[in-house]
Amino acid sequence: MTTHILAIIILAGVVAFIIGLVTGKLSKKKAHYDEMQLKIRGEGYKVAFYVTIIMLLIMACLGEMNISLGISLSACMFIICMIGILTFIVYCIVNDAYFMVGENAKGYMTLIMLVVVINASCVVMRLIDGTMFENGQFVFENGGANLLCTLLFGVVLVAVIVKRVLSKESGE
Amino acid sequence: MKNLRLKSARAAKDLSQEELAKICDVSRQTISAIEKGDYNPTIRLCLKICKALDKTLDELFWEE
Repeated sequence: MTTHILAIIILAGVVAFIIGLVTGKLSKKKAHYDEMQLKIRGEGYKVAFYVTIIMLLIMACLGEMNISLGISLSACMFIICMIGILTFIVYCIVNDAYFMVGENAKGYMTLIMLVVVINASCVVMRLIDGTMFENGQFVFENGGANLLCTLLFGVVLVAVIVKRVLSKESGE
Repeated sequence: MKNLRLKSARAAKDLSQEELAKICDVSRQTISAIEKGDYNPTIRLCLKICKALDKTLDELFWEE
């Protein structure tokens, strides 16, 4: 029953996102990145690329040294991808290049909050079920992706809030 | 190097950074970065700023 409710919530979220995407395009809003933002985003991609490469190299070295991280290879790859994405996003947020010029930032933040809540509820359900840990070990396949998504979007949310507070304090 | 001429021209027109940014179709942070000298704008943006402030490129951006 709880799973059905959760599935309905997720479906509603997806439908709301698609509607938002379509109506946003139909209303022909001129949200765009300006030239400085594009430059910063380019730098962000570069930094994220190097971070991902370094993480992969570290993982390869650990593998060669037969040091186990206690999680599967696919989980490791997933985590490295997430760290790369997070690096790019945080770099853009810090340098004011995450939100487009003319974009509805509040609406976007609400969507992110929704994603965090949905994923966090999945994690909580897995914890209650007790399927996330088997024999005292973390099982990535059982809600691990939800946990990472919660962390990823949670960090994005916190970064945006901190950036806004700092910008207000510095009087920008 | 700070672009004080741009800042004073904007102030003379009684425009805030936000208002000038809207006219030029860029973010407020971009205008702020140009005034602080943290960002070199393209010629296209320089022209937009000049038009918005009724100034020439020389008056706002030429360095002796």
